[in-house]
Amino acid sequence: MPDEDLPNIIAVDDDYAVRMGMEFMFKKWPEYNLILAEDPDDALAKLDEREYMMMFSDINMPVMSGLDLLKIVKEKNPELPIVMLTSETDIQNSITAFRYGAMDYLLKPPTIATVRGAIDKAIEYLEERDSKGSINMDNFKDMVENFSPEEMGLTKSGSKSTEFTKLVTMLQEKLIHPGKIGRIHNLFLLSKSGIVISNLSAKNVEQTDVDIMGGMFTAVKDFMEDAVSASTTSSLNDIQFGNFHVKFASGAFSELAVVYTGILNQEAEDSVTDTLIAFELENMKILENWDGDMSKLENSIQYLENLFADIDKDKS
Amino acid sequence: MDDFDDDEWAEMQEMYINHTSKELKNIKENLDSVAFDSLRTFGHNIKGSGGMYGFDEITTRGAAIESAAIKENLEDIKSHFDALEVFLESKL
Repeated sequence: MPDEDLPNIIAVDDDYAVRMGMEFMFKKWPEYNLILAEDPDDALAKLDEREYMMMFSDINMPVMSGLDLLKIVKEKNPELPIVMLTSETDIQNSITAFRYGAMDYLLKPPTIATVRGAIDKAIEYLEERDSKGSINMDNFKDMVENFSPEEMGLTKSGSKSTEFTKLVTMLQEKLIHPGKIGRIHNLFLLSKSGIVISNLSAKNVEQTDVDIMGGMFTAVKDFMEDAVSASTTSSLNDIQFGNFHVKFASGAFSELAVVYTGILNQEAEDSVTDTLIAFELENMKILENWDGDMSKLENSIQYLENLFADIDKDKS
Repeated sequence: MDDFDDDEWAEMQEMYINHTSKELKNIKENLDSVAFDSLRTFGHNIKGSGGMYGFDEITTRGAAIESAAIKENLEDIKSHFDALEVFLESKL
């Protein structure tokens, strides 16, 4: 019987060998109860029985997939950190998992280090959530629409206004996927006028927010082109908001904004630039006289998905 | 840093080899009546779990079984099963 005083973690996998491996790992961590489920139905029943700190789930399972399970569980309990287990060939599933609100995905086979890392990230996220309390998002739209680098003190070093600090907190809440292990949190493909052509974001970013942020990113980028010094070695513009960054690649007709945490290395930067170039080359004729009709640029999401798969995690 | 010590690792590997041998035996005995999808799942599962227990050979063999099952190539599957059986027996 699990110790009722300890936090519960559920792991769902139809493969007995993976469940057995998880059991071995958790013998190392007696501070948690590991509850095993052999399929999504079993998991849903067990999730109803007690409170859980987090969930690990396989994606590829018969009858109901891990992605369907993720969707159901997120609807019932949006705050539960969920980590999906996937194989290298399932990168499309990993992207879908990210969109459905998974905290992250781990490539199979899970190792003691990657599983422990995911647990630590979930703890970090839960602690941060508990300490932060609720943020008033009511004036997010006004704040973003009135974004002014000068008034917010971005033009002077070390003198950011309280308005800017508030904006950063709100953007963080909207854009940063809590506990994510990979570095990419959002990708926005924008027209020069700030219209969002396409975006790859987790489920918690609403479409109205996406449109509002498209305009803001364009303002930020314009400001940076005017004000940022040439001291950087990067060919791309990069601005830090709190503990995350937005990096911009500029094309002839469009911009690509990458919202990330940690470090984006040169290889990843090159992929960002190459993606934008490839997108513009394929759609040159449409972009030259684009009238805002999104249906003409439906292929844009594929570029973002491929880029996400390419740069979210370092290749090892 | 958490890690398994040699004894734990040996215990895990032994359990895994026993479990996989039993599964393989069962599936081989019923090969004529087993659907290709079940064979694919078996290949997919050992592809995912082999590396977890330090057996990259099982992962590679699992990928080959999965691929042969998708192509519904029973001869290839049988040949991979035989090779897997030899490998598992060498570890028992």
